[in-house]
Amino acid sequence: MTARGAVLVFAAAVALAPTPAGAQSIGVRGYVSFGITQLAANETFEAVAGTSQRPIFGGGVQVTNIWKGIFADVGAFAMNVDGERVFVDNGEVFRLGIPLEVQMRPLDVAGGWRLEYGRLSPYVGAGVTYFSYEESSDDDLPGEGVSERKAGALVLVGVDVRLFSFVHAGGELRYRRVTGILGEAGASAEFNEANAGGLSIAARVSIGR
Amino acid sequence: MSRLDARRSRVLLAALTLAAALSTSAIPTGAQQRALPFDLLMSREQAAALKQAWNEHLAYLPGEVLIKFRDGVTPAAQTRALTVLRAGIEERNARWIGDVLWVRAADEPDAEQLSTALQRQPEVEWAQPNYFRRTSAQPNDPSYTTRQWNLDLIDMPRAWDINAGGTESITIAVIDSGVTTVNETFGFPMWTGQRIETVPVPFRVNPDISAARILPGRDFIFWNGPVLDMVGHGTHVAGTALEETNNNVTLAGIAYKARLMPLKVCVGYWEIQIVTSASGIPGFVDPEDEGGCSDAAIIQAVRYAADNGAQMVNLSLGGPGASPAMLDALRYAVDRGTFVAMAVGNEFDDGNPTEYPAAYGPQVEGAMAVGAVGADRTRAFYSNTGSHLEIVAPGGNPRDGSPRGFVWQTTMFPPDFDPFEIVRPRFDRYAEVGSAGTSMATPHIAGVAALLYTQGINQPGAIEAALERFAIDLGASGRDNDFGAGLVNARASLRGFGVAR
Repeated sequence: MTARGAVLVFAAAVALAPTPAGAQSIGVRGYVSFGITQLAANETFEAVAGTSQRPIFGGGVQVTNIWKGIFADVGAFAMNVDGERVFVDNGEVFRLGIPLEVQMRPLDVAGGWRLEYGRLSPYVGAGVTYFSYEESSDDDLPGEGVSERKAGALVLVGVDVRLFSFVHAGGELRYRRVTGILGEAGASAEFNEANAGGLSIAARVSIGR
Repeated sequence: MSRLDARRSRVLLAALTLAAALSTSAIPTGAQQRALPFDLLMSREQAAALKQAWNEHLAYLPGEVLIKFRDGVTPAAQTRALTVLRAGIEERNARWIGDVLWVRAADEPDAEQLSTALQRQPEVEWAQPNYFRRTSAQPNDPSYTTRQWNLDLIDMPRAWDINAGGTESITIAVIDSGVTTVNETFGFPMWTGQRIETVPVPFRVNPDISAARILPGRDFIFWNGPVLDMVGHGTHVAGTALEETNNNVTLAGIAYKARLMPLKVCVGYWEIQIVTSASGIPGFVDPEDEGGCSDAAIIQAVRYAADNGAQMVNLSLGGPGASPAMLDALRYAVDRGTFVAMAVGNEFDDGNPTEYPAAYGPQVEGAMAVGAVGADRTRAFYSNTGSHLEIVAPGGNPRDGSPRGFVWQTTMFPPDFDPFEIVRPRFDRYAEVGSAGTSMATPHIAGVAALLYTQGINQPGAIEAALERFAIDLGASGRDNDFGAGLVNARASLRGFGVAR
């Protein structure tokens, strides 16, 4: 789904859904999250690191109940991949023993709509991820590493459970699609994988209103 | 495909022992065989055949053919097929090389005609002349310059940052004129101008290749003794692939921790002189006679390398004449995990012929046809071109007019064995010698391939793919007939792929 499509879906959902009961004034809550990401370039990362699932952690701020349950969310996340450089020939992977480190730092800006059913508060949202990607190897010479920043689409869905008056715990799925970094060279080109993002599932704890 | 077993071979060879005698009319009456410390493999007839091939510019050794019989053909049927050779074959003139039979027919020098006649026999899968190959170098006077532009050109110094010379677990077989493996003086019969004398000829191991890295190897053409280089070509080629590096001595080589398996399949002036003198024939061999190599010896060596643990084979030799035996040998080697680098030849100005075994490069994944470029990355004027060319490496371009026109390595001091000047040669002194040719380009590929192997790319086909994938595109965009995939790039090949780049 493109960013534009996600925004349209979200707008339609807001227009058609009932106004949440018990509308309140604007609130602010901070959160931390920790989870795991299934990287979209799964063959590439399987080749380089032996796995395409990497831990992700981050935190952010959400401004809630801006209007009829609409919220705004800004979050910064981090995930790393440690592997080694490879050669790929007809799909067969040869590991070269040269350590490779990839750092991915998504900065997500999203808007969404939150409902409240008692202690439960499900939400959906969409937005933009500003994706920072850095790749380096041992003995890199100038120009051999990779440092890229690209914007991509973001869709999120989750649910919070109120534990105490200002403390919430929940779970969330975030899907990021970021092109323009992978797929043009390197192992990702060999596997024809161009999306640097993926699907994250995370637990999160929020404090605030 | 079945291989004939030893018992069947013996049966066939016994059946082949017929009465044909080789002509000895050229040998003076009273000629005596001279004793040597080891048995000669090369007969006087073979030495004469090499001379004849050289002098008459033949593509094959006169009277010699290689034959492969169809599966399931019995020894009796094989013998029947060979009756097409009118005078029959002596046992010493027939030998099995794997499932290929080498035969020397005394009465019919035209090997192409022999092959055609044999090919018509229903028992025969194929028959071919025993082609005569030449080493692919243009030797030059010695020099003491230490410039190795060739290694910079393929980004070797930065490649060594990733992989410092490979490991001793890698063996590179240099199938060539040999690389001397002993520090020893041998008494060889030589014509000294008035008579045949036993002349002490000293040999010494290349001081810039650690003796611990040199395997005994094997001589497939000259004698049953230790491998000796009396040409200098094999030593030069081996130097590019794996000469000692970072030892403050002379020059550098690429895979300088790898082991060397010297396999001798080519002979030059001195071997032919020795065989001739050992046969009791007086006189000097024509100093213009540079010798050569036979398909029979080459295919034995390729198979030997694959069977004895060589992961890399360097073939800086070639010549015209399609050779199914060579193609079989290449496939045999690659199937056993051995990568092969082959020179495309230096005859661009002489009609740019397609030379073998390099022409088989595209047919055998894991065997590469290598051309040459000069220091300016343009095609070396001599380097053959064609659709079979797969990659290029530095070979030198003498028209450059500077030391950068040559590839420099440590090999025997050429004035010590110049047949135009010397009667009593010595092969125990070494110098930095500049040579140019696709012969010099080819060991760059074998050396980088050895590093790739230690880096983890341990299949010949994948090594070829990596070398081509990371080559620097030269000439027309993409693959072309002048440069193949381009100039080998050692560092990029060794780095391989990251995720995004």
